[in-house]
Amino acid sequence: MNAETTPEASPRPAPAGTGKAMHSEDLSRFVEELISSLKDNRTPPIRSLLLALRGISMYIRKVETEITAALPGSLKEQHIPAAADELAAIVDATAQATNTIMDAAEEIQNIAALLEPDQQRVLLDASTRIFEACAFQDITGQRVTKVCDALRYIEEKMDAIVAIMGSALSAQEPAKAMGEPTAEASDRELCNGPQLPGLAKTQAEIDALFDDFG
Amino acid sequence: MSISKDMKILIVDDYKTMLRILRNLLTQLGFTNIEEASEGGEALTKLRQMPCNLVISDWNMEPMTGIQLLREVRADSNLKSIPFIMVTAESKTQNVIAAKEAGVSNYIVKPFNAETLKAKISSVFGGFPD
Repeated sequence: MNAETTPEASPRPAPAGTGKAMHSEDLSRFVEELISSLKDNRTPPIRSLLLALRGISMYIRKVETEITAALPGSLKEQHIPAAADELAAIVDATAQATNTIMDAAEEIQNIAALLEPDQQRVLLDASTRIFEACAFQDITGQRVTKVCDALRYIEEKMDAIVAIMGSALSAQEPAKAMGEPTAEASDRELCNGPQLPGLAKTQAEIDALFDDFG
Repeated sequence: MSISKDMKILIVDDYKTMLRILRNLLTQLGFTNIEEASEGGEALTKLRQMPCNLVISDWNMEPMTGIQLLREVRADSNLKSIPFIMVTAESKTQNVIAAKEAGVSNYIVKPFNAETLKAKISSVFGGFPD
């Protein structure tokens, strides 16, 4: 190894087992320094080691190039923020439309109060159904929030990948934020609804569960 | 625990749309005394200022969730006997178990209708006023 290289000038990769992320450029430099310090030694074991180190060095550069190509800046700078904005606009638009619908339903209720009981009942039942249907806005809003969370999660992971350029890929934590909560799930992890149709429980199933644990 | 149309009901949800829907459905069911809160912390403050006869709360809110509100209510000697209905899109088994363990009185999964709301209130109070 180059004896003139100080730790400040050339940061060393974190030792194995320390749990610290190793930047790919640090790793590259470390390998290059190793090659440089060994290149004058012509013994067969060292020549084999040099060959292996050159292979490692090439592999690191290849991974860096591939990751850079796979994660264009526009994805983080444009596409993800734009998608988040579009989703927020959907929520705003549906909220606005829902309020307009509920305003109209309330007007129907006000008019119903002036009518004969039978007619009144018909109009009130209809307006109640309108209000019930307007719950779609709450459900879609929650679904959009989940998609935005997923986008944020992807963005964070992209940042991490770009920062370390693949050198610590194996150290990345599993995708627990998107997974099923465990039995010891925290309160936050229990906040993952609404479930998709087919996965969501019906009110009857909820009632049965509720009674089972009574 | 008796039920009456003028009992105070606190509805808690971070979606204004859902608060409006709940208020309207409860009004159509005949209830006249309805208070609102937009998250658990605000609900807890209101409950401590003016105890209510029924809490109907969403689960997924910030900063205080519905399950945290429920636990706070059950841990407070002045509030612990208030009936508490969870109205939420969280429909997984572990959610129902967690709510039940925290002392929820009943559980409604979104989307729901006026009949379900009426049935659950009736179940909690053992009847429904004419």
